[in-house]
Amino acid sequence: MKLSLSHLQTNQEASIRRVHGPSSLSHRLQELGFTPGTAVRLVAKAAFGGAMAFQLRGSIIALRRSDAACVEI
Amino acid sequence: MDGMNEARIIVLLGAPNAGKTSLYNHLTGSRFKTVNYPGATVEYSVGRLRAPGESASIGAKAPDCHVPDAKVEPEAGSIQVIDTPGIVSIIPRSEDEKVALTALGALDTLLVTPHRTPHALVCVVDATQPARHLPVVREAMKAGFPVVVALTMNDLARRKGQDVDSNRLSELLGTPVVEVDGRSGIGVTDLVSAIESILPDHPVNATLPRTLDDDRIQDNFHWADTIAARTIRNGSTQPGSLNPGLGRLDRIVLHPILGLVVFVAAMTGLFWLVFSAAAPFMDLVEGFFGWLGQWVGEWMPDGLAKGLVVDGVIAGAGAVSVFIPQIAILFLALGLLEDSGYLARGSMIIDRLLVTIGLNGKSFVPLLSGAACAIPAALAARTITGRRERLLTLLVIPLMSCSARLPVWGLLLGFLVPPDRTLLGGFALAGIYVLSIAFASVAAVVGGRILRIEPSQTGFQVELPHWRPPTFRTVVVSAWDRTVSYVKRAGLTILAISIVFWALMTFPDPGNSAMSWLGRLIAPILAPMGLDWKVGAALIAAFAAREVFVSALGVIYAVQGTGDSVDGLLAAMRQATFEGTSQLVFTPASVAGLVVFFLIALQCMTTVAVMRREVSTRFALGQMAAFVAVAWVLAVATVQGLRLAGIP
Repeated sequence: MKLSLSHLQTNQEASIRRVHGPSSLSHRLQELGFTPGTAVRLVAKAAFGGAMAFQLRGSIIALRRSDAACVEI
Repeated sequence: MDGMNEARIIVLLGAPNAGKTSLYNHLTGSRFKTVNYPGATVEYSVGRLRAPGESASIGAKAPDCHVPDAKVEPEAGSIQVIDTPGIVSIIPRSEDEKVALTALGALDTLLVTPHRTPHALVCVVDATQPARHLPVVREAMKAGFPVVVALTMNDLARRKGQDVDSNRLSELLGTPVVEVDGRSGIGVTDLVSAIESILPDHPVNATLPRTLDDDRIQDNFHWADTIAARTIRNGSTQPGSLNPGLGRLDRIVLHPILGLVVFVAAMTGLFWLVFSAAAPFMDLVEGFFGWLGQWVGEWMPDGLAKGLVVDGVIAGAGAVSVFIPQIAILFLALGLLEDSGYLARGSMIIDRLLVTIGLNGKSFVPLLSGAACAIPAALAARTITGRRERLLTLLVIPLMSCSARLPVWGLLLGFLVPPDRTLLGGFALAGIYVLSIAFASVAAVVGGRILRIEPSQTGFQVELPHWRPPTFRTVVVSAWDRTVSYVKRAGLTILAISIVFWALMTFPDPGNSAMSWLGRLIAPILAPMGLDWKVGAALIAAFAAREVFVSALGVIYAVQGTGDSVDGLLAAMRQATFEGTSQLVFTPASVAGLVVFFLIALQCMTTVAVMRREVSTRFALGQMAAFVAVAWVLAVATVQGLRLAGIP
């Protein structure tokens, strides 16, 4: 199984490999800065499998877990 | 030279939270009419660029309880500034981003300047995250727009030890870059000069691409990372370097468990403040109107006109004005949340829950502002990317208990709860909010079954902005504007309806009035709700604005000789009987039925107009018809059910 951002532990860092998913989603994720080669750190997780917050390029961006699963690391 | 007399247009463009609106307020000043909305910008605003000497101040806000006007006529020869909703990319994926790109002439329906593009763009770039905001600048320049970059949040970047060298950035981009402070307005004069230095006489022929492929998006970021690395002083030169984790506040607010506690506490605290902090002010307002009625009563000669003014208008206005402090505090508390940066975090925490009923984390802010008024809430729903989630959010917004219902709850709960049980009254009001959320959830689930739209695959993404201590001025000015707008709107409607009601009940003669004749027509619909035609008339009047229900009842019972704000009205209600019988109209069962009716019925014509504009006529009328029908059925079920259970 390929690893994605949704597999990260809090405070774990990773580098993005590819962005999958339907084009409307994968384009938007990349437009937000989740492009291949970018260093990302998981900084927070909401309760009950909720959204995850990532730090990248000086910003904090929250993604739904299923969106984070589209970002391969 | 013909172009010199035309208005020239500058569009402010940039990511959400980059500080476009505060910059807009500084650029335009408050001397000219602006169209603006509190909270997140979802509509564009147009204002005239101030001359370098003019003083800067916070722009006047338009009332938030009205339908915004889509067309703006620019003054000839002037320079007009257009504020736009924040965009993540030049390819729009939500309604608010479409509004922004429409202002650029990138979409077919040009609202501002038909078939014309702006003369220049001011691209707003947050100095703490240049690498994320520069790709839009690059696309705008590539498209052929003259661009000035306004660099905001410089103090924050400096504190992080990563400030951006604006001269170096300007060299690398080949276009002016000006450091500005959106809060104090420092640098705005330089920005105005920079704009004037690049502003052409005629609009440029620029077109933005309609799609961006993976390669182009990635190339833009690669370029932006390189530029950022070469312009950030003292910063790490490694592209896309990370900051050292979360701040102290975020470690609590975004914690899986503590974050939930904070969320529940913030929401409970918001409404607790509305109930508890307003009480002393409400007593003051009530005292004032009692005194006013008495004073005018002594001064005016007896007769028909006195009955109208004292018992109708003053008592009716008083009954509604009592709730102004509650409404002002609600607006103030919402403004504090909006200004701090918490709302984005709240939407991240609540996304999981909202998904289960078919909504989206981005529905949180629209639903919360629905507690104030459905109109700005409906506009705020533009930020929701998925069409299905957006429509479902728009469907349930009118079920949130808006401020116009507060006077109604005050009256109805005042009837149900004994006056000495204030704590019970507080719980009853909290219960009403819980019920409204429950009804909204059911409506979202049912609506999801009915709406034949594929679930969208747009997911949920939100940027968590920097925490900011709320600025007193912004919060208070915005709460004041919204309260004044509420008072004006409610006041005028109440005055007009009071006069019409009084006339209908007084002529041709009070014993056999036009109103009683009309009322008998609708009596059969009201009988199952346990109500008579008089209450029915007040319910119909409430379709103009919900709070009118209270003042209309005031007029109805004042004509019979009692009338003094809420307590007097309650006394009159306790004695009201069906005509010709001794059967009471207002019983615990019939009042509970009214509560249910007001919770669900869509009785606000402005909301219907906004829904029509935001979605379609069919959606707006269907929504109103369905909510009124369901409200009636559930109200009847409540009344009859309670009676079967032995409650009169």
